[in-house]
Amino acid sequence: MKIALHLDTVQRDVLFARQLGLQYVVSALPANPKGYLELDDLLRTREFFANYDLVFDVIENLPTPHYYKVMFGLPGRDAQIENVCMTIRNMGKAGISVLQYQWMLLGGLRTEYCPVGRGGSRVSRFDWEVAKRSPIAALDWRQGPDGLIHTPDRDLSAEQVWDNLTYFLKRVVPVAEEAGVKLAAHPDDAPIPSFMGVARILYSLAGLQHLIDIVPSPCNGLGFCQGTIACMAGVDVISAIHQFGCQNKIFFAHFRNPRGQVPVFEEVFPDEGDSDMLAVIRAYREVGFDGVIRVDHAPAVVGDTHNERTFGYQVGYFKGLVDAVDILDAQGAN
Amino acid sequence: MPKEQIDMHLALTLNPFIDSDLQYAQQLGVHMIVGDLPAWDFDTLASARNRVEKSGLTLCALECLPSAMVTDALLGQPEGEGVIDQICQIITDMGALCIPTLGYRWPVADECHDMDTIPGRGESISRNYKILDATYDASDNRTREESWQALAFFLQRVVPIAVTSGVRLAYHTDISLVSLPESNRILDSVAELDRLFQVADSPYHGLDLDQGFLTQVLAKQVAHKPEQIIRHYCQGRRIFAIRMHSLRRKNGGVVETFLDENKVEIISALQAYQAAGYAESLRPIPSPAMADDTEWRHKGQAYSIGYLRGLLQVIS
Repeated sequence: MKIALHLDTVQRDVLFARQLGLQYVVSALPANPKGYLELDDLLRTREFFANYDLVFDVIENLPTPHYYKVMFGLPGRDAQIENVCMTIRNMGKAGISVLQYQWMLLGGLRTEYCPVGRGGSRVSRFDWEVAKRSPIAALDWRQGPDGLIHTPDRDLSAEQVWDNLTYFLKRVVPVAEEAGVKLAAHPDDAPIPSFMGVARILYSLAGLQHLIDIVPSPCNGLGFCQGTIACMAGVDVISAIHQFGCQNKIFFAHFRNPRGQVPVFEEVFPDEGDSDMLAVIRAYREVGFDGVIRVDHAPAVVGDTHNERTFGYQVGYFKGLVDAVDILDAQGAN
Repeated sequence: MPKEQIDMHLALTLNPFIDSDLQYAQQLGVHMIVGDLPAWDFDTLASARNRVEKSGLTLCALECLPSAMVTDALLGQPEGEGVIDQICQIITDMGALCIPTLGYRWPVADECHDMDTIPGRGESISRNYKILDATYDASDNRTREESWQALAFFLQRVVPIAVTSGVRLAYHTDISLVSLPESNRILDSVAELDRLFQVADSPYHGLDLDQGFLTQVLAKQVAHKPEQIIRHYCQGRRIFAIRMHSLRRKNGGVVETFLDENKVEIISALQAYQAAGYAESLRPIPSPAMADDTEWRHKGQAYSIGYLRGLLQVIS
């Protein structure tokens, strides 16, 4: 499996990944004032990682300021779509094949960061009741063109949000096909149907399937955030891997294992979440998933100034599972 | 969460007087602590145990008696006599405090080992134990038989105390032995280890086995496969603790690597331990030094613990 970490173009980070034996990275490029990612920047980023023998093949994510007008259906969206197409063409030229984006108009939602995890580790939590009581406090990611938290000034229905996404996909997917770039939609985290009057649409397997079906294309698929999907009410993540993996719609994945589902979940270490991570790895293999899978966030470990202890632990756990499955399967085959 | 059916317990060696390290172990889901202590008086032992237990963890062993103490003890009478009494007191104290296992090592290896470092994966730094030839001028000029006599004297004094105290003495196999000339070294083969248990045969005398030592020293001898050695000592209930250590022969030395760089060997070993019913602690030896890591190698240890947990989950 192509195990990766999300890294910046910083020597310390790439050495860390190399020391852990990783060969793949995902990275973000900052929002560009021109409204699209420039070819030179993409090539430079790719080259930086290549110098450390790391393959950079996934951008995570398309910068929100590049397409927020499209998400909200605001005037000026067509110009933004043109710029997104430019980003996609530049990625094609730079040989970077997956672009993850998200359609969370209000961004990610969390309600608490509490030291209630294993060994007093600080876990992030989402509790829908708390979120309803203190909605602004639950807006966990910075959003909007100015980098500030965006609070809605009107209600938006699911139909409107779907219309906006459909409008986007119909215009960018053909360009992605030409450029050989896969568009990977990240599900809505936390996966709830609406917040502060603004609908969320990628909070269920049906929603993810609908996204795939509205513009059928080998370039229209998912950034399969295993953690978010496992938190969807009533969802079994193994069946979800089968459902989307069998359609070749998992372009990129996140390795994460929370505990609980909507309405309440918390992000614990990957060996103590609700999913059986061994079964998860077997499921990815059964569906022939060959994309990059990135180790996602978990609680911080004491004394961890750069999150390297927690990511070191997680990468170790993930690699241990994968290596043992490989070797046991090879033994079984002999 | 899948139940861990395997009976091996992940452990870490740490100083119980560093609160953040106890918390680190808890956060990584490690429950067994092998204590690396700053002192050996009763109060220190007692408070080490209490601190570990207050954190909800178990102090399953003390890493190793100080080498200087064992060296003095091995000198024999009259110089060593007082030190042997001190060691017996430590064992008695441990028994009173229910700390079940005490490591000891052959101290000569510690004094004479020749080690440097070489670059490892991703510019990490690996320890390289040089294998010396017979011309090496060792500071310790005892013959093998003289070494055995000293060791036997020591064991005949301390093992009975261990038995009455209910404390298990674990001989800490040591890769740095490879740096000693063969004429000077003992305990470097299955036959030598078997002799150790003939000299002092008791259910309270066993091994704290270094997996890298097993593959790179014990199994390098004719007719010994690692799995056979594992079975041999598991069946004799001689293994009290395992240190997971990945080593490779390279340029006339034995070089440390990250565990996954030796994955086939490590997984085969874990399968063999499991098949033989091994149900005690398993702790990583610190991996090659990662950039910007602490002296104790918190990053590298986190990686190793994660890796071993992943392997154990699959193997079980």
